[in-house]
Amino acid sequence: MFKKNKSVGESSALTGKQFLKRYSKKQSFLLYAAVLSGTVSTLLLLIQWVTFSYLAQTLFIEKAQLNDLYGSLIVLFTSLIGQPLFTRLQVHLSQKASVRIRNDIRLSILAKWRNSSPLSLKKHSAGASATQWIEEVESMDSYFSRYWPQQNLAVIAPMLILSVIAWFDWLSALLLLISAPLIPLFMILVGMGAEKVNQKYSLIRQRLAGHFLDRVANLDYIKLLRAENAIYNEVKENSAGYRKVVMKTLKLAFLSSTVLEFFTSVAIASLAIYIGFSLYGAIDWGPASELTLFSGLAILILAPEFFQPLRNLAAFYHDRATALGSANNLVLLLDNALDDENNNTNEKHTVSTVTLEAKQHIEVNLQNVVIGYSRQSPLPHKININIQQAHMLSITGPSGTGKSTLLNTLAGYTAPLAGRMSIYPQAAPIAYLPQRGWIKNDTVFNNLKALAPNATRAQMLDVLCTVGLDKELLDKHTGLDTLIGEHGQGLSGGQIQRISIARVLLNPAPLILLDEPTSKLDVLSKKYIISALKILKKERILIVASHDPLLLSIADAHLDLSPINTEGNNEVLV
Amino acid sequence: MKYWFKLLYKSQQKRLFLGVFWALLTAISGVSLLMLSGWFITATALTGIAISLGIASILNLYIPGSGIRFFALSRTISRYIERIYNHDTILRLIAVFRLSLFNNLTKQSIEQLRARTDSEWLSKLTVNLDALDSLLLRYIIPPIISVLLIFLLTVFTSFIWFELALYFSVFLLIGMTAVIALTIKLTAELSYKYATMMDEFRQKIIEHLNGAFELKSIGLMQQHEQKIVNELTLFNRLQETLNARIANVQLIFDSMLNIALFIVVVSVFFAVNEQLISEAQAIMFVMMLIGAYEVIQSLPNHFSTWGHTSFAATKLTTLTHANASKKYQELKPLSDIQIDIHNHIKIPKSLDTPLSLSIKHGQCVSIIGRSGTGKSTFANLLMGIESVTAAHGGIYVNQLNLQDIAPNNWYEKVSYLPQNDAIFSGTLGYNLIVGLDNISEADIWSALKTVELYEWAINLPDGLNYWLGETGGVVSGGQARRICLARLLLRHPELVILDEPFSNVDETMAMRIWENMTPWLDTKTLIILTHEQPLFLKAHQQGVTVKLD
Repeated sequence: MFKKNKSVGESSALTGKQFLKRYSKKQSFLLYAAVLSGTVSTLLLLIQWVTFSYLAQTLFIEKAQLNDLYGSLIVLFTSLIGQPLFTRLQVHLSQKASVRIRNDIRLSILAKWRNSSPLSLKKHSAGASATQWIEEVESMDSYFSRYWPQQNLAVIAPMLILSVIAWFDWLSALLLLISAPLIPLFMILVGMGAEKVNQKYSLIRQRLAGHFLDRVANLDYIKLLRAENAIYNEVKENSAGYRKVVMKTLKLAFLSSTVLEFFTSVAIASLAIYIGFSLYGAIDWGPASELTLFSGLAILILAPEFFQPLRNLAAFYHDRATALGSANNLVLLLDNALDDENNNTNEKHTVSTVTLEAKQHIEVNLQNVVIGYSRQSPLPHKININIQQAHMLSITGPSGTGKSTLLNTLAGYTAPLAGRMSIYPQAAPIAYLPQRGWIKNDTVFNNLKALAPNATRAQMLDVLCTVGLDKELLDKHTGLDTLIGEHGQGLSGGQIQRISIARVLLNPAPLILLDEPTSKLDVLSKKYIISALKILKKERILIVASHDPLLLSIADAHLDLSPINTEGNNEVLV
Repeated sequence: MKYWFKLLYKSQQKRLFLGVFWALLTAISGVSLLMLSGWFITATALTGIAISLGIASILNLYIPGSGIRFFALSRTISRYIERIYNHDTILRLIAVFRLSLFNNLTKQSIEQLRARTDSEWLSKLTVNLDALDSLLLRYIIPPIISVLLIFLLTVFTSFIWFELALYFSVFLLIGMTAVIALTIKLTAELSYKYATMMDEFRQKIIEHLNGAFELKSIGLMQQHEQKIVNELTLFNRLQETLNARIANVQLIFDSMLNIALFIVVVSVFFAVNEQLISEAQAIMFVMMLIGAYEVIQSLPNHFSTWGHTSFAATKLTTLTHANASKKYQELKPLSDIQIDIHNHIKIPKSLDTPLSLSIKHGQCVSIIGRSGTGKSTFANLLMGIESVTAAHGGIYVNQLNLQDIAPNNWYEKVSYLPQNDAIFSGTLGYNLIVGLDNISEADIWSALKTVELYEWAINLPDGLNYWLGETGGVVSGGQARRICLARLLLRHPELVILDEPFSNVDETMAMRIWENMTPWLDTKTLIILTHEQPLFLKAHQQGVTVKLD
């Protein structure tokens, strides 16, 4: 057990960076194909401008006639048409890769959720998990579809362009080659400065940024305090303050892209002047004397293209930061949800097909079982239970004595800390009704279907009648298609509990666990639930945590988890 | 989206013009740099050859040289200023949007607010507000710059070659308009759908995770997941279609521009042959086109988020619907409150026996019930946060129906301590006096003394300036409760409603605080809601008791 745990710990050392790498590797074919298309597109760009320069040279200097240059014109036209096509192909391939990768990631998150204990899922709010699955994964799109290919192209394309320029004039190439490493250098320097300013204002910026949401979240309280106007002015002031702080950082952060702009502009300007002076004959050293309009024009037009991939990369750079941030979060989710040693919970493979009529033998056996959520704090009881089919066990005890923990243990959501627990047959489906029932924002039909996939509409109507919901819940015109939940009508606690019971009646598992099914309920709901439980009791095992005397009266056996009772072992045999 | 565009124009008119000016200067500098460089090297090449052939020609190298350097510099600088300036505008704009939103939200009733102020709703609000960035940076500045640039280049070109200028401008303007229209037509609906699907996923995932308890033990987790997986397949397909459409529009636009470039190349070469223009001018026009393309090429990309933005704008606009204002009655000082509740589903007791309660000014009423018996609902009804329908009774203050009294008028008379505490992210002092004017520091300290927090507060590193809430110090549940109590003590209500005033506070502490509070309470009508019979009540406070169990 310990060993296994350790290996889990090691794999959780996976960083966000490795995570991104692992997933990009899975689609490396598409991604590299995208890079290849980008390279072809660059080559066509080269051909296009070299041909153009060649045309200018032959027409202007060598005074050729346009009619004699069809060949070159066709090359120019073809490259002009081909270049956007290959760019389109690059986009297509990389976006396809990105869609596939994000699909993979989302499926593995779903699988992770499926295989973790619902107890460990509860550690994060469902909303936060949804944000991870939706927005955070989505934010990786531009990393795979734009940044990844571009980081390769940012090396390949400038190299291609540089070699062509070098072939024309090595001095110009040298000039570009020297300026290229200077760019990242300056960007890093400026970036460091920006980071410093960023950190300096980080706390105040966080506070100002959070202010608006904090106040909107507490707007009900603000209204009670009649502070709307005061807060309105606060929001106004804070937004202005926030703007000032952010601008301070932006002023530096934008400098880094300005560095790039600056080098691009300066390179064009200095090359233009160098070429112009050479062509004029004012420079006669080095390779300058060999420059022609052909080579000069080509160099001039290609110079900005040399910087373009770098500029694109810089523009996409924050895509990488965003993706890394999301990846770091996802790594935690995908690897660390396993850290709980108690969570040995693989889903039962069998989809429950038990019907009301099917008689299946079931038996629950607990020997000297100690329960608790962590080894450090076991609950005091040693529990011994043996229950056979067609019996109902009730569990009582003040809150905090482990009623829900015992139910969670029986459901397999947390492992017993000691002792032996066996449920026969193994992996029998278990119907578990927690204190707060689960309601989907959907139709009554879909709400029932979620836990009773094989139920027919007729059966549903029948069962709703049994729990007394047919008149209360179903709209006359829409019947089972009546919408319930937040977006439909609000449901009372009793109605929710009765829906949960209706689901069990439609798809009764051999073992049924209920946590306080009748607390907080009105008399009517209670009556319906108890009669439903009586029906279910006939062929299954019911284990109910409750204080309700009415419920206790129909139980066959009773387990008391009160602290006074810890002296002797708890033993219940039915 | 109209609403937000209008708001943008109204609030940022001046900055909009200046922002456009800087962006235009950047664009012009960029194009001019290319044009001048092209012209320069062609002119020097030809002059150089002429000189080498012994033909006397002179070309001033220094004026165009400095021009090139000037444009290189002005391009860099104006680009920097433009980015800073327009981002500043964006931040101002977001502030305006926030204020307008906040203003509209405050007009909603507490019931409406509570129905949606969960973390879900808040994160959606942020996402949607962020999406409105696009209004300025994508939909306003780029098309305006493109049009102005084309206009200026046309004017310039027409001095040299009128026909080229005419065709150039007509082609680019039509092409530009067409491509924007095409982008919106092809993508707006899909990208709106895309945003909707993202929104629906949230609901589905939350439901799925909330259902885990019931789904997993019975082995239906995977089956339930299937719906999400199916939806995901549709989502992927939708995204691929959307991506493909955006890329196709870009392809069409690029190809169109490249064909136009080819035509221009051939025409200028032809024109040189015919001696309509000089060689240097020919190259200059080609460079002009390259420069202009750089500006207008990104238009399809900019407009591809139109649907997404309009989704966000629609979502936010629905929040701006204010409630119809109602005519309210003015409330005089409290004399009596009459409460009748029957058959209320959230107060189980009322299903059996109607609750009827008459409270005179200065009385003390104690309402007792376990959780789930509808205590908080009772308080909410009394505060007017949940409304009582005629079928379930009514609440009358000075014989006026509570529903005919303006909420603000009512909140002025009542101080209510709800069950959940709200600690604002702000200083301790701020948390106590939020919404109040003219509170002296001495008053604050005395309120803190009353709730027995004086010792704690005086020892804090920053005293009353100690920061609480997110990014600040953490207070325990009991401290939060007492801070909220102290907040009430600084006010002057006529009625005080306390819902579990001492949850998370131990009994001796509760006794002491109550003792300190009693003089303040004695002048007021008091309704106190507790789980069990409150032990801290004084003899003279043992008034009416209502049991909800």
